[in-house]
Amino acid sequence: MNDVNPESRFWMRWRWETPGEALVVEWYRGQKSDKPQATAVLRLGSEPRTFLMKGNFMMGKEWVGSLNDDGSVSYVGKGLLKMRFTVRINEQGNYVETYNSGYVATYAPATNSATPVVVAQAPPQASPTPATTTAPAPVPTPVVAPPTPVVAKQQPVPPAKPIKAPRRLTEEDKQRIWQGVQQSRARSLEQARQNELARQEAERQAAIQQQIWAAERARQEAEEAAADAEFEAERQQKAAAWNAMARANEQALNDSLQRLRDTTASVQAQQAQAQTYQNTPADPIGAAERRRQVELINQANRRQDDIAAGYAAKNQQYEQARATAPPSNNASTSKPPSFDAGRASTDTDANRCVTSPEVRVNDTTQGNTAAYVTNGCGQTVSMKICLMTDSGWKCGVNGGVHSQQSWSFSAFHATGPVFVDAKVADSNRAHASPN
Amino acid sequence: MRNSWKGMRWVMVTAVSTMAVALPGLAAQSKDTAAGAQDFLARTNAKVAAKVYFVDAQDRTNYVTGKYFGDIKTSKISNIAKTKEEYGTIPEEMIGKQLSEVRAVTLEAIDAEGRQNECATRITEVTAPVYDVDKSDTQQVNATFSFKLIETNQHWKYEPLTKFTTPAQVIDWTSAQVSRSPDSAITVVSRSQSFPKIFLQFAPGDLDLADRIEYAMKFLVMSCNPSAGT
Repeated sequence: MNDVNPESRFWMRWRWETPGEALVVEWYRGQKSDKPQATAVLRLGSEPRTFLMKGNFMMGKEWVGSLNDDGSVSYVGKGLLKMRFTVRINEQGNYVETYNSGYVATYAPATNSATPVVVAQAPPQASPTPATTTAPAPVPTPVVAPPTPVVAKQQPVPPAKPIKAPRRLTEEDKQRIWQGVQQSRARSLEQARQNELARQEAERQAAIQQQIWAAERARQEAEEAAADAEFEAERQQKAAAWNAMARANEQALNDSLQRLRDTTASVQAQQAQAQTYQNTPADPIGAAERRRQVELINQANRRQDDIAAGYAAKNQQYEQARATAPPSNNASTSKPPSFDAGRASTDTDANRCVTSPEVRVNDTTQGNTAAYVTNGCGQTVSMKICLMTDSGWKCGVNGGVHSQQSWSFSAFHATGPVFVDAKVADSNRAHASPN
Repeated sequence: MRNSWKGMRWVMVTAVSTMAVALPGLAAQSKDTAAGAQDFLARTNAKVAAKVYFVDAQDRTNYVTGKYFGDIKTSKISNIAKTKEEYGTIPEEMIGKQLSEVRAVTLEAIDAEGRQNECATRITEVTAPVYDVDKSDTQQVNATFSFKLIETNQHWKYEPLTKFTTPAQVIDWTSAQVSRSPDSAITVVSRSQSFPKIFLQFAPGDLDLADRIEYAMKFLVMSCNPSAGT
């Protein structure tokens, strides 16, 4: 191919250095030049759709070319100098190099070449006077060639490889071919049969393996079933034991409840009997007796009131005398003055059936003195115990001292005198006071 | 048997190739020629569409390069603001893949120089299922008061099949080798102009037809390469 650009007039030729691997591009100054002005080797790049071009110019500079969708290839130089250019085949079938500088080199096919490829495959013809030039592709500025026009000369077409006509086969040849085909067919069928046998054997092995696996699965399932049955039996055994225990517990609970019910019934029966007894009307003799007792009680109450009035008078006298006399300190262990003589009412009776106060000095608490009184009555009484202290009477009341029960009241710095008053617990009477 | 092969031609072999008779033997008759074998293969290919494997120097079969690219459109749709759209592109990547299903459409007895040649079979045209891939995907991303629609279009575009036919690759019967597989697929392997190896494989699924194909191929090999044995 020759450059149609009048300034350049290069000839470009291609040849395979290694078919399919290395394509040599050569630029000649003239068609007949036998020495290329520049040479580059094109190889496939490491990436798809890429090329690697290495020239013998510019110290072996390399360009990486990328194939574009339109079929053109863009080259970019490696290193600092990119020196970009693009090559493409234009509509006229010319090979066009376009440089970044704007320079365009167009190579037309040699006139005696059917296709550029043919030219490329033909070894370039020697040229006696190669012109000096620089590398065509990466040159940023076009090389100005002599303006003298160069007529593109026809590129000699390499002699085409002569067509070798097939030889005519003899009958013997054909028989050999046919026998070969038959043998090939037999081998093929034998191989297919072997393959089929191998496939069947593999299938059989697979089936055996499946059977082994199935047996193994069955064995495992049987073991699991046995284990499950054992577990179930144990579970049922435990459940039965638990149920038996639960029944026993329930029976015991029922027995206990029955005993409770029996006890409750017995108590209720006793209460009913007692209630019945209490509600039973008294016989005439009993009624008369009760009326007599009530009368006695009333008489006793009246006497008590009289005595109380008398005591009140005496007490007043006593207080008056006490107010006038010096205080007495010698009564700490002596029997306190008794105010309970002559009682005839129920309260009087309560005072009579309680014990006299027993005065004790507290061994553990210094200065504390307690007076103990025991309820000797047949019923609960309310007690009031008063101790005379340095600061006057200190009193305590217990409204529920049961029969035969003792109660005490203590005070600090007791001086001796003790006052006790007892009454039936449900009596409306107020406790007497030592004052 | 041998007498019955006489008088039969490749044309007839082709015409009755579907008959269930011992037709391969017909090929052994004296008037068989390389041109007839070529014609037989071309006609048979029209029926069974032979597979072709172009193996390059890197041992890649039917390898085509391509480009992956795409675009992304993001629309932010809100109840309280105008819909906002953004457009982006997916960075291009160089890609490649091997095509598994390339079949010959046209076989011709033409050599690399474009001349009629009974010792060459040019694979003039091939076909393959569509191998470019286009994929569109829409993804919705919800937020509290808005959502995003992300529309992604991806493309895997590869070289056209003309890569294998420009120039058309040629089986050179002077150096070709024929083999038969256990499933009676007949394969011829040859070196071509652009590929270290090309395979042309007929899988007729019929033993007799396979015999005829193998016979035709070996006929060509023996005709074109005298040193070749059967």
